[in-house]
Amino acid sequence: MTKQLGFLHNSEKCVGCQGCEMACKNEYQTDATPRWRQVFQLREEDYSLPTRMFFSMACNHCANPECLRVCPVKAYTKREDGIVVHDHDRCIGCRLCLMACPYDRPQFNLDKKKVEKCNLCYQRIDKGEKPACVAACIPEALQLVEINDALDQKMGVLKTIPGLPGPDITHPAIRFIGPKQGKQIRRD
Amino acid sequence: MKLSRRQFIGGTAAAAAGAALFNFNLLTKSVTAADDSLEDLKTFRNVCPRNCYDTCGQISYVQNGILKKVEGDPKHGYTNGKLCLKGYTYTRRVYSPDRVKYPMKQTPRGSGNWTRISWDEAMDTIAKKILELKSRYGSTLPICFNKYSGNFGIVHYGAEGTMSSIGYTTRALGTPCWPAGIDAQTYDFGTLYSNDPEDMVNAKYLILWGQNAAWTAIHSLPFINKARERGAKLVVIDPVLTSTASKADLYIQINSSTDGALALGMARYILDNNWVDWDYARNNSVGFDEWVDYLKTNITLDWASEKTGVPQDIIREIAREYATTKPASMWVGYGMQRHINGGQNVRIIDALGVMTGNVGKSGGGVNYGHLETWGFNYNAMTNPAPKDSKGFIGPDGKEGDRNINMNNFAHDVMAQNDPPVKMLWLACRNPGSQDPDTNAIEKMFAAMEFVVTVDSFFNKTVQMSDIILPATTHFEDWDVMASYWHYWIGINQRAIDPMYESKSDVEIAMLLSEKMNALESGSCTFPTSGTPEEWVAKEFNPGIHSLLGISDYQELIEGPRKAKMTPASWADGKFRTPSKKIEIHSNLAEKNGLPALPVWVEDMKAPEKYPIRFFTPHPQHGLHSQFQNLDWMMTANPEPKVEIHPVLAAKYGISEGDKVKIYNDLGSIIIKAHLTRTTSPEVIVSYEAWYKDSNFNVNYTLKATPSDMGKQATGNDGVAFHDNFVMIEKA
Amino acid sequence: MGTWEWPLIVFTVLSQISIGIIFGLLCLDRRNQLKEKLFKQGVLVSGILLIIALLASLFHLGHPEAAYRAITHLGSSWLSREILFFILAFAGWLYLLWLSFHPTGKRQSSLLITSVLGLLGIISSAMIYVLPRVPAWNNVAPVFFFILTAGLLGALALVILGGQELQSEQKKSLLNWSLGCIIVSIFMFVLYTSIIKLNVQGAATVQFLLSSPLFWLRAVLGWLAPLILLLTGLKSQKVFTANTLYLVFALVGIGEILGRALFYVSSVGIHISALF
Repeated sequence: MTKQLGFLHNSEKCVGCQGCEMACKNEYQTDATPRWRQVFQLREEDYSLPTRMFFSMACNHCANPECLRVCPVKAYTKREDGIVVHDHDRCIGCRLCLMACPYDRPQFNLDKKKVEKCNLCYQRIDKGEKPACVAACIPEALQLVEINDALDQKMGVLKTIPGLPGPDITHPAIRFIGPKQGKQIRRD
Repeated sequence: MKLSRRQFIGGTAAAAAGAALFNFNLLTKSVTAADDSLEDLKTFRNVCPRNCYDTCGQISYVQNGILKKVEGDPKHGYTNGKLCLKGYTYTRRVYSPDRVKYPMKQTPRGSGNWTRISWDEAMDTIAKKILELKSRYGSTLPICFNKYSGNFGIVHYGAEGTMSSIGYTTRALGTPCWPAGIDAQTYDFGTLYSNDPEDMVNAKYLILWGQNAAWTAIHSLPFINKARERGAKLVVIDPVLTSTASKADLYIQINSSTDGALALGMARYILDNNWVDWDYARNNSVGFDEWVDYLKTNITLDWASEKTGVPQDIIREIAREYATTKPASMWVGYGMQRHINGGQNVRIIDALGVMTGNVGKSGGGVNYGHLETWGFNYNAMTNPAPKDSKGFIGPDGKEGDRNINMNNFAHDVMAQNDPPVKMLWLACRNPGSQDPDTNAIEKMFAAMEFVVTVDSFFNKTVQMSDIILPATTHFEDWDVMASYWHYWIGINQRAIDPMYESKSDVEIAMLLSEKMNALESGSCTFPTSGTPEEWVAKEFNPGIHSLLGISDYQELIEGPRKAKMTPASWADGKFRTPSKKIEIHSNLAEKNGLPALPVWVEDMKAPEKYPIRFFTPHPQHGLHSQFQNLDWMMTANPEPKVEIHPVLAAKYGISEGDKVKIYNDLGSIIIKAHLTRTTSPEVIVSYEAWYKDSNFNVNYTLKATPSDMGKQATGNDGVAFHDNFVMIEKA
Repeated sequence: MGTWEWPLIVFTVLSQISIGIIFGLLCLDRRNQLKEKLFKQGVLVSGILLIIALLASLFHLGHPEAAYRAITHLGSSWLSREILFFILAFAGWLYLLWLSFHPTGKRQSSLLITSVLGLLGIISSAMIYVLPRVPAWNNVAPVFFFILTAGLLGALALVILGGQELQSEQKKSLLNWSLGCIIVSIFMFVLYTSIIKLNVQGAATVQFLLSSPLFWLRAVLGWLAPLILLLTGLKSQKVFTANTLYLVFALVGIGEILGRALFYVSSVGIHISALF
């Protein structure tokens, strides 16, 4: 693996609009229920002041992907650039990856009876384009990055945020910039 | 809604030849997958025709006649190639199995017993009813028309045109959303006219009053963010800590409906410190000194702080910063003016902008919206009434349509006599879902003899109709769109053939005209021919051409164009008031029974029985009753919630996830609670939307309380949506 | 919480009984106490159980017709390994079946090989669930639970099948072994819960189990009642009636099935904790 592509999500910029979620669905015209990318709202109690704070998560293309390890049919492969690709044709719908992923990112499609998930738009990346979600993010909160030491040493770049499974389980290729809160004049 | 199995299957089996029996699987392969052939992949230019600040430029991708996906138009300088989450769900709207496919009639009305009818039968039934009412009452006044913003495409004013062409009718006049602020800016400046939102990058200070750009005008965010990168401070004033407020450098949780008091407090402090731009104010306005006297005599920081709940030092801070940071921009949101003193509050904020010389400046302005780019021909709308049509004699003695208040629709329809209203025609409008006092709306619909609705889904209004005519989506239609916020105009091409038997409003009008004239010659003046593209072409005039720098509408197919206007509104100082100056003292306002000056007018206080204020603002998932019902949206946002502050919840024994009954003497709703400190203990929040197959509607509790302004520019006062008071209990 | 996974319950329990029987036959054979008739019956029943188990497992898949692909990831997937080992065990069973009609001297080695393959299959079955994502499973416990099921129900099955072919000595021996398994099972469960309780997800699992009426049913039917029956029976040196033996087998069987169901249902995964 020569590099590890991943996402950098900035909760300071993210407004929870869920445009990334729908841009992904629009790109692949996925069925109604699977949410390859999902926007979550951070819990108020984890921060000093309550605000509406969000993070967006698709597949984390982990360095140690549990899904890849447990899959009996080798439906998962990890590319040289770190993208973990799920081959829909190979999948037999055993759902072991659903059990294994701490982030619940593989989605079981009840109609197709197979698993599907974010493949980091590898088809677009191979053409030099950004993933659909990144391209669609209006506040530019979601970025495609290379996960490496240089990134991790940047100020404010976090390996995890409150509410997430510990990153040491699968070493997800996602980094965060936490939400920032301004001054509030409140009525409570 | 019970569509009998046999009817539906019979319907689908008999699908017209051109309209493919659609299956979502036809969409599944990505057009960008490396192995997919790009053969026969066409792209078209579209513009989202919704009631939205952003009015996005879109590119639709069509393969083999099927819309594969929708993306943003990179040539649009405001929306810059990106859509909002709703825009990305358009394929689910176009191809939704819930979509109304054919003209259908419901017997009896409200039963859910729909049968498919042919367009001919539909037109025949409707035309006969119109003519029967005309013969019974001597005019077409018993027919009432209500249309608003379901589709703001210019050619869709053909719906109004339909009505004009059959005679004089009863019209729902006005606009629910924003008339108080429009009137305020009309009294002050002559009309509403905001800066180019792209110009916000030049602001060094930004105040958003009751405006949630993050969820309702998201494409403005990058411009605001750019300003902040350049050092601008963002202040958000809102009773609710919205997503936008969460980004502010300073968030002020103001006491609802007291924004005017805050602005007055700021003005007083600015006056006391002589930060006033006397030159600008005195040269460009009338009545400024009179207002200054009012400030000196009536306004203190004490008073302002007490009224608004904002500490004095904060009022001083923002007053100083707003007055001394140049340029400073203010964005007045529509939510802010949905109160009984909403218009007056906007007038006060206008005055604040004038006193600091921020009006007419790049990076400044008191920005609310504009209609500068809407100067089309409205050819589809303009049709003469047939000869010998009897109408309503207005106060000016002229004969014409009878106007009723769109914002008190149920009441006004029922109140008409001589002649009474017997038939409704609804297009681009869903009063069953959107109007205040849903119970009253239901009763009024039930009292009608005949209701025709043009729409795409079996929503609440359609459920109360006799005949539904299937509407095209904008991908199936030609149109042209302007925005009331940004300065761009775009053409909307027909990207795919109309699905099933759907038709656009002008196509319906042409069919109706043909049928009516066949039954009674001369009964309808609407043209009976014209392709959709021809109808669009007819909307353009030299004014629009020169505004956009084009000589033919077809040039817009290459890309949308930005109107050639200065980035700052009112930069030329040519105000459009009677005095040609900013009218801080407005005789026109006074003539209309309003204060002449931007003085404080009391907000509505909660009645004792219903002490809790119920805000029903707009979420990101839906635009009024559109989008939330689509399958992708239902997955992302499956059910409505009410946001309750934990202190308030504890008072009523409500825990997270409990079902809560929200009620007042108008009606009640039951909804799940979400406890959050992003609202205040006096305000509960639930977002207005139509969820698929759900009768949930916040408007069951909402009274049609008028806001203070709207009559002058829009015909009727607005609705004080956020002055809704309720009680709650655990359900 | 997990879901009630019928295909997996049937597959794991039945395959474990199947291998348990083979192992039991091996033990009897090593003491030269295995009669031909019992060998034949044991092999037959074991085979039927294994076939039903393997068929049941197909129902767990979204696409059973592509199940053959499931052996392709032996490098890291315990599911692949499990399937391989069970297929090999099945091959071993086929040979045992042939042997039961054509007796030769190779019986013991075949029983040994099939038992080993089966044991490896059971261990692989358990290892599938050793997932970092599910702390309650992320330890040796699943391996122990699965092997215990095999040993316990295998022995009891043989007692029932043995009937006249077993001497009372052997029967007692098998029943003592079963009693031992039950006691170990109870002890293991107590030890297990006290350890996993220390972790958030594990504590949720323990809380779920202890407040679940189904668990207490499992404890009574599968542990307490058979424990009492076996203890009193063995102590009093009485001969167990056939009916008592059927009863014990049924009680333990139901207990193991409930226990396996609870194993799946009580699982609590590490997950994203957010508002919505």
